[in-house]
Amino acid sequence: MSLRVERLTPGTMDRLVADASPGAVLPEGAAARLVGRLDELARGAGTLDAWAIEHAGHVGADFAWTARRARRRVGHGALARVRGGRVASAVDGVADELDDLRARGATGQVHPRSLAAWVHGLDEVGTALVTAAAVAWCAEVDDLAGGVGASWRVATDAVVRSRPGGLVLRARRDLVIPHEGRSVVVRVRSGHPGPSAGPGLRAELAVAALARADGRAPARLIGAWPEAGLALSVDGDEAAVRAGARDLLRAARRLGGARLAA
Amino acid sequence: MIDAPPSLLSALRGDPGRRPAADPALGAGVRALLEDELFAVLGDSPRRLVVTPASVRGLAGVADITASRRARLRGALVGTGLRVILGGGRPAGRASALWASWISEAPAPLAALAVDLPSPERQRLLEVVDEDLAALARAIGVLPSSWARRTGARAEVRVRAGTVVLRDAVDLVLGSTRVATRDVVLLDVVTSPLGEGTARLRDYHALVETLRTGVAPLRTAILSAPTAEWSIADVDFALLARAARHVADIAAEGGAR
Repeated sequence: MSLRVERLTPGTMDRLVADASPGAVLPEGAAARLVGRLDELARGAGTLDAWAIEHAGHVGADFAWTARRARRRVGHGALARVRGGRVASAVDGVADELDDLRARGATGQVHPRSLAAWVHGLDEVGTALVTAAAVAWCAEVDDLAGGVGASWRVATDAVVRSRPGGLVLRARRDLVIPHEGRSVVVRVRSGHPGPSAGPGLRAELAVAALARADGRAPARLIGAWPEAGLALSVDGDEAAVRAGARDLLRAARRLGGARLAA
Repeated sequence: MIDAPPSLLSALRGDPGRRPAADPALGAGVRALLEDELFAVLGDSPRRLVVTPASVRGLAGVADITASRRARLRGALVGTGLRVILGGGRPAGRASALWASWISEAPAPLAALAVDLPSPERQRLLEVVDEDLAALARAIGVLPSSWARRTGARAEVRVRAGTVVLRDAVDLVLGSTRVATRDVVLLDVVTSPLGEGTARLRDYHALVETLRTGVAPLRTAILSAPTAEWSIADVDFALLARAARHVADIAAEGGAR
């Protein structure tokens, strides 16, 4: 199990993709047993993700959309449009993505706290701020992915639900880079990596393996912190997946313990 | 330095066919130089230091708290207004709408300053910001949609085994580090007239960008919103070395001044 820390210079991503070994495969039945145990420990609905691991199981404060928070979702949609050849630039992709969200929001058939409802309610200034933030996100991700050839694609998050109304495990993913039959997953983060960034990445690695029908972990999971110019990466080997699973169990136990105390 | 450019953006971007090749050795050399400069002033001291744009400009110790508060709010609003301009909006004449959008996501200490601002003072501030934004919109013009751009680009680079933190925020970064030539240009907007402090800030932005990406940007510029003057510099080793020495000077004086 290795956690590598590197400076994020041109060529770093290329190297990290090229020398990734195939990811470990979970033993048969292990995924179902682990998800069942996590659900049992958490004692009800909730979400476990890297944030929960990095913040020792604490649940975040009430969520409210801001331009900075919306940039990833809007930027992903825009980048997918650019990669699919549907638009010529990220600026056009973001405009189309916001048009679609606004139209969905206008139907009234969306959750009032959804991104579509929020975008529908924005004035011109708010829309321009989201546009600027999402275009910046696209430029950041495109810069990162530029070094890894043409095969990368925008990824959706890996999500595992223990049961309807139960625990949700989420691994955020921004890019998937296929390479010689393997896949390397990239997660783009803000700010500077904290001391728990490694455990956060390992937990996401475990969730990514749990989310796949064949139980195969990504060959490597790269956390990119462009603002700090750093990349942390974990190999998808058995030791890293086990460590990620242990951290998820600890976080689920804390979540369940907090519920009992409340 | 470039004299009397025809327009800010064309001067910044220049002729794409004449850009020099990206030189990874320059980035590595600058990091080594900064480490040496810091060692010369700090030795083996375990002291932790944070360098910020305000400390680079020599503003962190401004004595007039009220003036400092107004300036910080004006700077934050103008920065947000620039993002609106680059996001396709028209902020001029809409400072009140800008205020509402900005305050909803402003950092808590700055939002607290804004809330405490007496109403007449706030009105005066919004009028000034309106004028700044009108000048900015004229200076920036329209960016082609094909240009890769990042607005409000933050950076936090650690050197000297993580004990010296260089924090930065640049209003606009154009270009990409994934091309073979030096393509990135930096533009920051200030709400003061240009001077020695803003020149140091302009160079500091280039230093932090070089340390962050390993590739030196092509140019770095500062635009003064109230005077619509700008200062552009081609980034070379001499500029980066000057910025590194200034960071070492700040470290010698005790970090964020």
